[in-house]
Amino acid sequence: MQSIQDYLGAISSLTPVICLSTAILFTALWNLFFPRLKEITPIAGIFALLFAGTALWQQFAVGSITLFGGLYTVDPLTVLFGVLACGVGAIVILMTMGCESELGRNAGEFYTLLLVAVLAVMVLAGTTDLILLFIALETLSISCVVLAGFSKQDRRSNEAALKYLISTAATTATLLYGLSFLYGLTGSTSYYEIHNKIATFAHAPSLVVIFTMVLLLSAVGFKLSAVPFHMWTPDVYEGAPTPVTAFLSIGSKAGGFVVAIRLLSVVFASSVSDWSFILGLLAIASMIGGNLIALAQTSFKRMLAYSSIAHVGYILIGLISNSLDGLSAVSFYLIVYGLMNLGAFTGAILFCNETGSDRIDDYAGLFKKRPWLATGLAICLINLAGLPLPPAGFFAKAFVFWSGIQASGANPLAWTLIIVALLTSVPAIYYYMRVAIKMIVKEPSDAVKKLEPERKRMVDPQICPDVALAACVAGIVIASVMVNPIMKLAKDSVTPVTSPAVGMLDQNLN
Amino acid sequence: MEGFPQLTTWAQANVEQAVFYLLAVIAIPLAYGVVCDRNIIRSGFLLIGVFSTIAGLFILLSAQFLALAQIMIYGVGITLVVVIALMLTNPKAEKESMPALSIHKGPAIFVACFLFMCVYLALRSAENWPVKTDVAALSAAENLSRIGQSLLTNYSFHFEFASILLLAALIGAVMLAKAEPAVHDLNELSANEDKLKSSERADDVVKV
Repeated sequence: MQSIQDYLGAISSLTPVICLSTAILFTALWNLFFPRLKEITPIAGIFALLFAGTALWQQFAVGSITLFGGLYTVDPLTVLFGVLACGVGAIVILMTMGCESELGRNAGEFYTLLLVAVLAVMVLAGTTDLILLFIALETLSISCVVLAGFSKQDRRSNEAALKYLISTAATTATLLYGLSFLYGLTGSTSYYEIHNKIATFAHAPSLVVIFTMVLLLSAVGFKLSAVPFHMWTPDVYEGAPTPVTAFLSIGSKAGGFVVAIRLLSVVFASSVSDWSFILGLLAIASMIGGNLIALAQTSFKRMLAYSSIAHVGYILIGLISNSLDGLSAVSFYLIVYGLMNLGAFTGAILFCNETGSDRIDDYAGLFKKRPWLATGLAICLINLAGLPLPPAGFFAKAFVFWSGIQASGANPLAWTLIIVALLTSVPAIYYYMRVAIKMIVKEPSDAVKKLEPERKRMVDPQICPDVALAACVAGIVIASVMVNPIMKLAKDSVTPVTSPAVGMLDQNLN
Repeated sequence: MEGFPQLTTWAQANVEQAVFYLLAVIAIPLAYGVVCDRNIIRSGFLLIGVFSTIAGLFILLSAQFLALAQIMIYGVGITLVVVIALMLTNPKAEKESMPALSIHKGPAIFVACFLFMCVYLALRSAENWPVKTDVAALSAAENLSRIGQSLLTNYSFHFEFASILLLAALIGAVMLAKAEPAVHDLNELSANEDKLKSSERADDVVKV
């Protein structure tokens, strides 16, 4: 990183990041100068995300490039999660345009902060440096805290922001403590150098490495809301504005997972057996806890919140198996889960816009009044339940379970994990299908009865959540049809971080 | 004369150790006070003391720049902001309603001891903490120029990205803190807006 060519090369590799940063400034300033044209802000945000996504996509074929002396890596994994973040961002903006009234007069700032959060996920995907990891995680947390508290007049939103802020501060402290140990042990902040240093330790995973790992895993587990670290999830999910909840449930989780993939398979590659055991316990607790508590919920958003904890448990199985299949199953699951979860939340927004209700019982009979909304929502819910109709959600679960079975030789917990996962899928099917069946079969509830036969479109942006829901359903169908190409993509994306690549890591050190 | 250099190294090591323990003896009770003091302003001031002793530790490690940064940013800047914010929000009124320590003392002590054991065992288990010997030779100016160079080369992206973090924090803080009419007022306003068909007037009303 000395010559001007290095800088120029780095800048051209960072085009998506620079593009999003420009969009952040644009959305922050546009409403100030042209308040009458404020409708442009979200549209500009969507275009910036699409542009950044395309620019990233072109880097997929390039292979692995390390920038800044190994501190930032652009490889297919970065690209895949970056594109995922951009897609999630675009859909969340569409969802938000339908309920801008909830945000008061600060809608422009909402889009700015949302773009900041997307950018943070994008950088998290590429970072191979402890300091950048910390800055990006903080950026993600701070923007999510503010987003969660965006409905200033709503007490529950304030509570959500405060709870998120306090718990995120506590995990930041554990993360920093863990990072300081890593630096103290190895004298470096680059993942690759730490990997090589730890590999040279005589008695491979000494206690201090495990201790550091536990500290880092607790910080990552908080972002993932895996079970012992899930306390903040339901209240924040319920209190935050719905688009923010949608983003938290997939955007910041994707960020957490990509950090986990890189940290565990690069930095802690030598202590696989330890972290797979710890993560196994987290996964079992998440699957049981999330699914059982979700059963008892009467609020749709709260149910989705608890079930997202359960989904994290399933995804962790793929991570634990620590193989090419396992990690690609994680990527596939995140893509499909992102689509169905965003679709479900969009359905919740559309329903809430018209009825003002979030209760599951109120969804009964929706099919009779709003057949398209009910069908779209039902497709998302059926996929979340893992039923093959269309089979995207089913494949996602099947891949993860299969990778878990394949890893059963190396991991003593593997069979327990699979059995728990299969058993807990049953309540999951029940509580998702309950909503779907209520919507389609049951007689209309009072809230639904009050609906006008034709939906009145108050303002034009009201149509945007419809577009978002349609996009999610279309995405699910496409993912069901094109399982093989997507799975190949996922495999290509995780190849650089799985075991054969360790030789490549040495090259990167120069 | 021949033994002299060794003697000074020996003396230096001992002085270093003595200063370290001195700083530790000051820092630990102060830190304890920060956590346990019931008066929050007093614990804010104790925090300044903790940060200053930590700056002393940095000087012992010949990280002069970090020591000064610690004093300027944490010891003075952030703590004073905290104390001023506390004075403005008048925590005296809150003091009465503060509940007695709600955590049970027994479990808390148990958890603290357990965590201490974990940290202690973990620290002792590492057989090879790397010790850099050449760094001590750097003068303050060299130290600073190294930091500057890495901020503009390998760490330039970090540096720029930190500005996005600050921007987001700034926007968020302003957004959350600025006074706004409640939502139902806004609806009334927009109804007025329709009647008057002039958005400028509505904006003026909102500012009030």
